[in-house]
Amino acid sequence: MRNKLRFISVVIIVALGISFYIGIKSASPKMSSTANNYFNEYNLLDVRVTSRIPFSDDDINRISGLENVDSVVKSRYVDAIVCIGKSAIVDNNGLEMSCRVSEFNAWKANKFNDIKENDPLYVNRLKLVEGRFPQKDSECVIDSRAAKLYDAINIGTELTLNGDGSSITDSLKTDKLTIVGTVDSPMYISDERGSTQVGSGSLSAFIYVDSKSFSTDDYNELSVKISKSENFNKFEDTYDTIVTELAEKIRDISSDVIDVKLAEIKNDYNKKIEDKEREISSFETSSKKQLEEKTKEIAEFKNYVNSEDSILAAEKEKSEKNKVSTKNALNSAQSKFNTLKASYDANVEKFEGSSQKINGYSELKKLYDDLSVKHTNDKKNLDKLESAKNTAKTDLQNAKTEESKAAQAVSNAESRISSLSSDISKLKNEISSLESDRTSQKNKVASLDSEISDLQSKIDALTVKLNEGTITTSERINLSSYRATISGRRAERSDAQQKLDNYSSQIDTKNSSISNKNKEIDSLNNSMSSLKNAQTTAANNVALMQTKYDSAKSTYDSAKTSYDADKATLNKYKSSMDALTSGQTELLTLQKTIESQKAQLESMKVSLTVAQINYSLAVRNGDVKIQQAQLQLNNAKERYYSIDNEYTELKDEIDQKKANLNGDLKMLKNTLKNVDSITWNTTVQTNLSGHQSFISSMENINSMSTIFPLIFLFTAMVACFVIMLKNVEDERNSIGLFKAFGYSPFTIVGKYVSYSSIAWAFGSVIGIIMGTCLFPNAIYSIYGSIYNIPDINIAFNAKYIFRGLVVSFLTTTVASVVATFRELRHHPAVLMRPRAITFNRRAVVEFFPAVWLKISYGMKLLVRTVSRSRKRVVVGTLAIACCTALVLSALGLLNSTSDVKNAQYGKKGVFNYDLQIVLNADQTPDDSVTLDKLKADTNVDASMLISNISYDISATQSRWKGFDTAHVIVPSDIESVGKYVNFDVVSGSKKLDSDSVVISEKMAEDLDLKVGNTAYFTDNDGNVYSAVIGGIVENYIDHYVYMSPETYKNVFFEEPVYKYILCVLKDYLTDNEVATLSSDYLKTEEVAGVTNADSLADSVDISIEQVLALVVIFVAAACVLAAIVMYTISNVNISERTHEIANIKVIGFSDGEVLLYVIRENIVSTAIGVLIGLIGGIFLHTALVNYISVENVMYGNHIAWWSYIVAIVIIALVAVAAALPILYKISRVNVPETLKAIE
Amino acid sequence: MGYIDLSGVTKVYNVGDTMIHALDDVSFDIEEGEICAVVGPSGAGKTTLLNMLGGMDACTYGHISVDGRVITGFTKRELMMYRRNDVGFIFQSYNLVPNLTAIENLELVATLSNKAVDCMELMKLVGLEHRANLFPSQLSGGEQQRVAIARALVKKPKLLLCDEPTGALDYETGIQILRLIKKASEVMNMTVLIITHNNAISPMADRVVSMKSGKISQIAINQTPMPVERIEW
Ligand SMILES: Nc1ncnc2c1ncn2[C@@H]1O[C@H](COP(=O)(O)OP(=O)(O)OP(=O)(O)O)[C@@H](O)[C@H]1O
Ligand SMILES: [Mg+2]
Repeated sequence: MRNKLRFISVVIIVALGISFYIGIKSASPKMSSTANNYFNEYNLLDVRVTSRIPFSDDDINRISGLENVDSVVKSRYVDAIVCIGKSAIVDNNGLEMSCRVSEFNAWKANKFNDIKENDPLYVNRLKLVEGRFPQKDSECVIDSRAAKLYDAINIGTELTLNGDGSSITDSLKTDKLTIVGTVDSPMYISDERGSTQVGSGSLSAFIYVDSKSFSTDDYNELSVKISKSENFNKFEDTYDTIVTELAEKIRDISSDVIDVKLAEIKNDYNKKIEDKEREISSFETSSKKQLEEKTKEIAEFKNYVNSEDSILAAEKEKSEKNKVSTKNALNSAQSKFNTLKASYDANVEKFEGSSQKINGYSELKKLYDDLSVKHTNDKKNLDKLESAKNTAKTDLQNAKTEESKAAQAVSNAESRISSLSSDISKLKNEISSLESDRTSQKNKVASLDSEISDLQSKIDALTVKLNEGTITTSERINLSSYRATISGRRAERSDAQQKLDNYSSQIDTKNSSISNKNKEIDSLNNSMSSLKNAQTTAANNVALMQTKYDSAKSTYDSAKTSYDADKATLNKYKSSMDALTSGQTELLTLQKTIESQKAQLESMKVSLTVAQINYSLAVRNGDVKIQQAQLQLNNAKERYYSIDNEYTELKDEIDQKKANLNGDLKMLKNTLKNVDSITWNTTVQTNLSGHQSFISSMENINSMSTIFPLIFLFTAMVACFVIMLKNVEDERNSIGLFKAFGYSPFTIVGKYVSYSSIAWAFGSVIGIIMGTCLFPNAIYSIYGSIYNIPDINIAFNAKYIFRGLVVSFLTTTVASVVATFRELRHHPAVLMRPRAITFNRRAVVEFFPAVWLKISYGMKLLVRTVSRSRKRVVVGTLAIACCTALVLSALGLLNSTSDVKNAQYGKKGVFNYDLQIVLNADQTPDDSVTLDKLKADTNVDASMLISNISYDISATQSRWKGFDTAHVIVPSDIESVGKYVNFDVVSGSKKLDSDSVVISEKMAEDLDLKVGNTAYFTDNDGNVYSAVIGGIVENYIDHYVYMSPETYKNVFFEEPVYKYILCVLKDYLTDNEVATLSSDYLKTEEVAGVTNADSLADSVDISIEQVLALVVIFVAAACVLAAIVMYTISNVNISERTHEIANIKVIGFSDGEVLLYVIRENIVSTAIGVLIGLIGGIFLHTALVNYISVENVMYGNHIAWWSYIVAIVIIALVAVAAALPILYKISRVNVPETLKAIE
Repeated sequence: MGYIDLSGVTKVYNVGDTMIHALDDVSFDIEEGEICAVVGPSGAGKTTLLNMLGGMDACTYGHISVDGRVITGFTKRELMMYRRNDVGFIFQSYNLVPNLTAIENLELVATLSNKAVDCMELMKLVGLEHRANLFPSQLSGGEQQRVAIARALVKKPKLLLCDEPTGALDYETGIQILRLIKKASEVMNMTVLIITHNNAISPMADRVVSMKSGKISQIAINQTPMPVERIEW
């Protein structure tokens, strides 16, 4: 029709509403039917009966005879600690791994597995996951979960079973089993495996062996099936009532049957107790006698030791005395000898000194003689040297004379040359003066010559005139004077010429004299070089002679010096030799004295040796005797000690045996006391471990599905409804037209119905598909990872689909039918006019002018708009609130789940320790080697032994009304327990030293236990103990009970068994260092396993991813719904108000301002919706946290601040997304055309 | 060149295959403070002309300038600001916002403008101060039109555009409305353009533009405009 988008919106809204409704609603029924099918197909027992007293055939017959019982199948099981080789496997709680070994019929199992043969007597059938069923006595199949969880467990692994006190081979043919396959069992659908009496108290896995592997005939387990069991829904009350009644009847039989047996047993026990007591008393008397004998023996040996001791003392004394006397004799002899020896030695020394000197005379003489000979020779030599020296001296003098002669000749020649040179220079001076004279003369001649020629030319000219006769008188006078002058001048010139010639000849003579002198100098210079050579030769000769003389002189001088020295030595020798000849007589007398003393010394030496021998004999004899005595004493003592040891050993042994006997006695007495409480234990199917939490999970989803989908569906359908009404209203014009044309009302209605029903049909189909495939699978996948049941199969849940269809049909199709009929009441004319909208409706506030006049214009506008479009505001608010609540709670869920691990294992979490060490055998704080090693380790901050045993905790004496399996932790040192575990007290006190226990929060909540209440502890044998609760502490994963060793003793009548060590490591250790440290300790003999606290955290089952899946589903669905509803509402609004929009656009509003003006009510509904949604989200979150809670995990209950912000941001985005298309529409409004339309 | 200057304004509508020339090469001037009446038969293009002047629609060719500004070259946003600040509209169908009271209708405009006149004063000016808190649907046609005038005056526009303001009113009321418009134009020195089917209004105008099928057929300048009271038709 008019608006395709509106059609699509309706389809989506219907689809979302239906899918969410169907999806969440049918999740829980689907889980239930899947589980039921699984239990029926695998023939799961209805009631399990176990007993400590083996069942007899009679017992079985009596149970079979009960009403409603179809079959009873007997079986055997035994619990054991599982080891590989000698070391225990450590389970994911860091505890040693215990398993329940049960029997099954492998032949039947194979048949069921291969051809699905349905043998009703094959109960609790196994589903083979991998491998095969056992074929030999030593083969087994194991829990597939354990195989997945523990690396050590694989097909082919050989397990060694340890009975923890009792012998496995009492029950099984062998205690070594090889894994040949992995299986699932309907008995165990969750992670829980139940509790046990061995090891840590909780089972980690189950093992099945073929019946033939069991050697015992004691059947301790019965599987009871009721008739037509498969017809019952196991999760409904009818079934529960039937099985519970049956279980009660069986217990009634138990008391009958057991009374008889008990009498026997009691008798038995009484006899045993008597025997024990007798044994103890006889043992006591016998041991007393033994002890007495031993004591006597000890006394005897004591005496013996004493006598030996006195002998030794006497012996010591005697030897000492003897030693002293001999020693004295020895000492005196020695001193005498020493004095004599001293004087002798002095004499000898003196003699030797003198005789040495006398011996020196001949040597001296020889020296003297030799030197004399040499001296004489030296003298001759010296003379020769002297004459040589003199010859050299004369040679030197001759050479010197020759040299001076040569020097004279040279100097003579030189003085001649210098006189000649001075002559030459004098001559040269004279020549130069002559030459200057000559030059002046020459100049005079030349001037005279020119004067003459001048006069001659004047004369010649006058002569010509004269000749021509033109001569004047004056000229004639001039001519005669000229002629007179010229002749005078000519005379002068010849005179001058003569003088000139004279000078020239003088110069020539002088020059020839100079050249002669020069020649002489040259010849002198020539002879001069030969003279100089002669002089040099002479000088060289002098130098040579000088050297020769010098060497001759020095040779002579040195010879002379040595000669003089020898002479002095000779004189000295001579005087010494004279002195020696006088000392010889004295020496002879000294020699005699020495000889006599020597004889004396010899004799004295003999007597000294005798004394020495005497002394050493005395010493040796004494020592030997003492040693003998000592040996005897030691022997005596040794025997005494050994006897003493024997005594203590005996005593210990006796004490030990006594304690054992007494313990046995006590246990017997205890058991006897407990025998009264022995009954058969009955467990109905729904109480099997894990089934209970599966049921509560289902219930959780169920209750979750009551609120969520309804809100969701409601919102969606209200939105649909509003849209449908609006749709018809928009079409009233055409309706009027159709009516005017004469169409029947049904034809007209049919037109609109077809529109809405097509939208509805599309939406429904999409919704059903999503609702049956998408949502249940998503939810199931979350639980499927926790529970071990087969995959869900898609099945239509007709009931919810039908409901969803009806509701959506009503709000779409029926709504439009009704609306059309409503319009059709009017006359066509009315219909064709626009609907008279009464806009003059005043908001409530307006009637309070005091308020109205004060509020701002914008507020007024807001109030007015909201009051005008209440329907839409309500729907919008609803959608936004719903969306906000979903988003916030989903985010909160994320907060809560991610909190858990941190709160338990993180920094400042509940557990502070870093390592948990499992020991191979229990220890006491005093004798654990590992503990000592840890205490000495600098990387370890603190370490402590603890006991960790699981018990079922309940609020009443019987576990019937529900119980939690908890770890009972007994710290060996209650003072320092705070280092390992943070006790954040919820109520009561965290003190462990009092006679009360501290329990963890979730368990207290589950079981409704308060401080001051009594908690009951049931062990696997059904023994019940009790303790008063002193405090409740924060805890997030698993359940814990803490108590002091004293309290433990008081509660359980036995000492705690310390098998675990908790360690706090130093902060600075890196992960690698921690790993190395762990593996170091793992190598220790005492240690079976080391678990890191981090890996404990990793084993927490609910992972955030699964919750995230849920969160994404919720958030996405909610956001899409909200966005579509918001969009549709504003879209309806827009088409209704285009005229108004055009109007205010003309006034000058921008598109943005128009948008704000138009979607004002959306903003209001978004704001209100977010507010309501946030508040609702908090409640929803709390509800959700309770819903999803798994039995042993407690989720945090607060939403992080950022979740609020993220939620608001998401909603804001949704609102913006819904508003964007509106903005587009506003920009598209054609103002002039719209305004014209009305005119 | 006048205060308002149109030259060669042409508006072509494409309807399917045919082109309709709603305005065909229209050119004329209006002086500041003038009252200009546009008359002509239905479909002559009067409303189209007014839309062009009011910046509600763009013309196909030609250009229009108002107070020296060429509005034909304006961007969308400038056009919006032009409408917001410079132009007041009065329509035949009043076009008040139905869910706001009379005074609130004025305030709606006042929130946009920074030179807004006091709204209550204007209500007094149009003589409706005692009806200020009534919704449009509770007012008579004439009263609604007076509110519309008041609303147009809130922002003291330079140009008042009226599209058949008296079309839906009786004679007496029509006179009242016209008088009001004239008075307002004198008080506020506004240039006014009034469209009407009826030639009888022409005596009160300074200038009368007659249009016929998209073209101007005649422009008459009235040297002595008749006082409002004497107008009749
Ligand atoms: N949006 C449009 N699309 C097509 N043609 C249009 C459009 N608006 C107006 N017209 C045409 O333009 C012409 C002029 O119309 P206009 O509204 O300006 O006339 P008018 O003079 O105001 O008439 P009336 O006095 O009847 O209001 C008309 O022929 C009309 O058909
Ligand atoms: Mg018109």
